Amino acid sequence: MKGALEGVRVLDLTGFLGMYCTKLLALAGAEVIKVEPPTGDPGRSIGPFFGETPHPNESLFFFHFHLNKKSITLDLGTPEGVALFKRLADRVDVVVESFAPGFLSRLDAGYEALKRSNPRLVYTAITPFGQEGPRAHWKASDLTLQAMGGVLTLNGEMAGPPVGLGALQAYHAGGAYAAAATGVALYYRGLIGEGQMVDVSIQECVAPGQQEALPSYQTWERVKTRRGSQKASLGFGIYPCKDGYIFLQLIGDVWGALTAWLGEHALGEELAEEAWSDPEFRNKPESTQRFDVVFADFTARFTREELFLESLRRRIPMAPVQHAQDLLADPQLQFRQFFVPVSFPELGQEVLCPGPPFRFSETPAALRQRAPLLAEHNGEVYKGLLGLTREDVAALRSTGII
Amino acid sequence: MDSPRALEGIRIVEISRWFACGIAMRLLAAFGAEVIKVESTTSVDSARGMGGRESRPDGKTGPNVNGLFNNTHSGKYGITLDLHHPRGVELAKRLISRSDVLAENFPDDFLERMGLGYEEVRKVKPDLIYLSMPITGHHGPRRNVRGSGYHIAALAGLNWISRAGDEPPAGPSTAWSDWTIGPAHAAFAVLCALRHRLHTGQGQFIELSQYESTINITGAMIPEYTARGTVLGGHHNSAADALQGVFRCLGEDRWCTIRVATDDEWRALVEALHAPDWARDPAYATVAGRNEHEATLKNHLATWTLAQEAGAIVALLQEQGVEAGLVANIRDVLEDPQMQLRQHYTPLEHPEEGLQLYEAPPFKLSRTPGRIPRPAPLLGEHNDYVLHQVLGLTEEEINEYIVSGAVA
Repeated sequence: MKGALEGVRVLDLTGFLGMYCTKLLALAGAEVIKVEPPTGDPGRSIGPFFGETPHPNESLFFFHFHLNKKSITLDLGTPEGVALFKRLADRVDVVVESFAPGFLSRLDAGYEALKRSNPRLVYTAITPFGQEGPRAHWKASDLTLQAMGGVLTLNGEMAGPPVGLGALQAYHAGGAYAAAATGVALYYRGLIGEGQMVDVSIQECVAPGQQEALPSYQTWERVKTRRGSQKASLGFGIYPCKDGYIFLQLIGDVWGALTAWLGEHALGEELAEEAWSDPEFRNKPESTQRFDVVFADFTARFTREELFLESLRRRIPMAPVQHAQDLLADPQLQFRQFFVPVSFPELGQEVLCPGPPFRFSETPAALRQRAPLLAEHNGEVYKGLLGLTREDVAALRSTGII
Repeated sequence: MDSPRALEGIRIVEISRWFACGIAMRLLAAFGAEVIKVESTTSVDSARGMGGRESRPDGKTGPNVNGLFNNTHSGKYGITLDLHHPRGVELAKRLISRSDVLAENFPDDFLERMGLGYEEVRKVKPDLIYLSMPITGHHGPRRNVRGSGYHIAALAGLNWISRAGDEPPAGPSTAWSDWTIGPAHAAFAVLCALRHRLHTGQGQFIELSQYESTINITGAMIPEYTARGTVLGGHHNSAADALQGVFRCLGEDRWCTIRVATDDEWRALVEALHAPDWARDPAYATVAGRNEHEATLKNHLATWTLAQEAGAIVALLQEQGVEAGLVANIRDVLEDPQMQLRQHYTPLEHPEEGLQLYEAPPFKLSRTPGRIPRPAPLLGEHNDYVLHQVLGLTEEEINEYIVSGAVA
């Protein structure tokens, strides 16, 4: 079966800021052609690598973010390179770029220039702060964007420094929303036949992480900050157990079930007392602390697995704190064949990758292809899409334009 | 004339609780979809009650004055249908038969048990797009997990990789995937399906396991583990390819980020600091040197930032071409001139809460801009509109549904 975006051709000029956007488009079936400088995308130098030594085709980071994509090289620092880019942009449905605002316009290759010859083009620009405004030209990478979008302040211990969310969450947020934005524009294009410019601000994409902070500030003038290991309310937090940590959040009417469970292990006798049935009493700081002592004593006696399985049976919302190794061993994910083996035949290796974030019944998203080798599709794209001859391509290569 | 709206004519029935599904559909409402949120007076969205134990300074009470709910559901219509009532289900089906998308995130296959599963409702609307957002998925040995975005962060590995260095995991004080990226995944999936339907006439079922979707945002940790056996650990606020950190500034809980990736940026930083003696050491002029002396450099920078206002540091460094950012809290974000220029927070008059700021979409479309068309629905606010205009029922039929208890 074909993917939902089958037939959509995307020219991807992004770096770190847009790699997740175009990955989502590629997972949904779009043909994504990544345009790299002849020296390769900076992501290719990020370790660890498949082998012991760094190699531009062997970065696992690059591999993960560029599954299903094609790679061509192009030097936008040369007039010939810019001209080639504009010819390519005439033959695609979507351009996604993450240059500083105005960079491509100064080369006469921005949206205004491209739409003259391709009015159906959807042009998605992903930048830290958007195309215009007092901060538009500020520099910002992932940690700074987590900071300025208002989520960095929400992670870490209260007494210590704010701590970044792991694995480039600002870039992921920007990428996921840029994909959704491109989806809106593609739908409209399908309907009306017109393209448009999409201006994504990663700072704004991070901001929904303050969902609770916004009304709390507007209603009570409270400025939400990080709590770290302090519990947000009774039983809302992480507890150590035999082999790691388990998360508890009391959602719904589960107090009785929880105290019954503790009672079976002769723990928390006082929690069964009348006073504790009153949520107001339970949420006093003293109560919360007393509960913590009892509950931590309880969880310390069991493994994550024992606690999780029993909590599922008793309908008490708990979840083990897992890491990569746990995920690969999770029977739920195994049952659903979530992790997909992707082979790298040139290295004789195969790695597991997370399956797509959504499952379509009619247009399945799929991991079809390993990440491209640098310039792997120069021949296919320059000859097939632009109609250049073998000699043209060889000349472009020898002059360093591609 | 108003700008065209990309999703004009698309009707979405949202039967959801809490946030992930609601925020996704809010995005589609901002681009012109008519989103009808289904609740009932006996089963209101729990988000309407969150924080409800605590009294508001303005003394207002009730299901319509929760800012969290109102922000999540801005731009939508609301109807009260009792889905535990057979005639409520019948009415829901009539509504679905006149809609394009059904979006839900209930646990334990609730909709299916109520007779509103995909196979059932596609009989009344064959080209329906049905988005379902379970926590772990509809199938599998652990299909019945209940919880919130915080549980998902624990399960998916996000807590593990977001802890401070080698400290025990504490978990972020934000339901990150639930509030931010999960909704973007969901909106994208529905838009892909809408486009596919536009070209083929075919609807479909989309299962978005929030556990699986959140693993997608843990970067390359899975292929790295399978290829190299390395387990991604906590976050150190640092970077392999740059001098990067979070620094305490003057005042209570004030911090900034600073990042120096290139030699040019290092020279600019030294200049901004008025070239103090410590910074003139030629050892620091290269990436390798700065990496080697990272701890010393960070100590020097920390001494400097501690005596300055965070906002002033950030403005000064950015002016010199050095990356720096204010660790913004909600007040800072609301006052950020960039966010204000882009009207990320839009003022709207809510009938019970009064004038409040609500989140607009985090991107601008040149031809079909987004906007929040109306504040969140009061409980049952659009019963009349939906029953009369969307379903075209007669007064008699409507009365029957009301008397039977289906509309309640």
